[in-house]
Amino acid sequence: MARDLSKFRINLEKASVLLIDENSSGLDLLHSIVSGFGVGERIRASSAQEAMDILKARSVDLILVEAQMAGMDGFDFIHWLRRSGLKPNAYTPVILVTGHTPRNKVEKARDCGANYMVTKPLTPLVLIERIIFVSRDSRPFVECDSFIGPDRRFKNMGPPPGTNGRRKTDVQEDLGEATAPNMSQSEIDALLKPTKVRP
Amino acid sequence: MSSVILRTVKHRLTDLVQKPGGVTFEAAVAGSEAELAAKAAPALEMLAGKVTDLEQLVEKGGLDAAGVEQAYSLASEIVNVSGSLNMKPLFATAYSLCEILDHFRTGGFSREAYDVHVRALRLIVSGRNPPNLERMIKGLDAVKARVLGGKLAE
Repeated sequence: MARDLSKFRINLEKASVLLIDENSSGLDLLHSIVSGFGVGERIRASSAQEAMDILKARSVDLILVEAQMAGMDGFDFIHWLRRSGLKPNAYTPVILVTGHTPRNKVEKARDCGANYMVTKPLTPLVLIERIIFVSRDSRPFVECDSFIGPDRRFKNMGPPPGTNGRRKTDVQEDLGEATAPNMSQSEIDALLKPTKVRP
Repeated sequence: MSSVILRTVKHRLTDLVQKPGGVTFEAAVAGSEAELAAKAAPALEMLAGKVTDLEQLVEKGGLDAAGVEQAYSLASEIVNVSGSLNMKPLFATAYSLCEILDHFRTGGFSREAYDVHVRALRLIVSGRNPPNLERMIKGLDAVKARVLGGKLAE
């Protein structure tokens, strides 16, 4: 079960978010969604190229990019960003938003280096949960020949709120109440007490 | 073997979201939903235009490779916009159309499958939602399964 976030506060007043979508209606909708979240600065880019120019000139705190674009698509854009050497932008959290992903791009989506991929239908609830997730994302950045981006394994931090994770061993965020009484201090001491080992 | 570097990164966003002030999670979602509600009507009008484009693409017959790409691009646009507005039936239908168009890139084109999807899109964008909408979408799923299974091609 996902943790109850209803009373959680989020402050995006000072955040600058770059929104990239070559479709003007899509960009407009993305802009509306983040406006409602109280994002202080919303920067629109109607192509990956325009976004690249912006990122060369200034830093941003979060990037939301549409995957399907006719020119450079969202996957290639993130691939470029992670290898751009731009500091701090190369490490900026990126949420990739995708509608339909063609079969030949599934691998590209996995390997592009996004912090998170959100599939449509997109709701404000889902998007804000993912923004909170990436803001707390403590995964290290992996840099090797074939991949640059946040570690693709979520194992240690558990899956994002509202998702169940893909593995049986995934740690769920809501651990629930303890089912057995806590150990007493003497039991803990006994566990830690050094004992001599006789040969 | 190539080397792997693990780098610890601290994002400015992590500090910003925790600063005092801001809005509650509930208020953020409500604010965003209110912003989106104002966009729904004009977006639906735009999507109706995309459906017209899909209809016109096959007026002179089937679709060649370039036509399939054009149709995929239109259907994908419908998926993206309806998906951002959480228009589920429209999204599901356009998504199914994307699936079959993606298949047409390598498999055979099926006019029947294309037409039934476009007619369903027309029905939904015109606001004449049939009472058995759910059944219609299930039917489209069945058509899609037949196309992807190679059982419906010209």
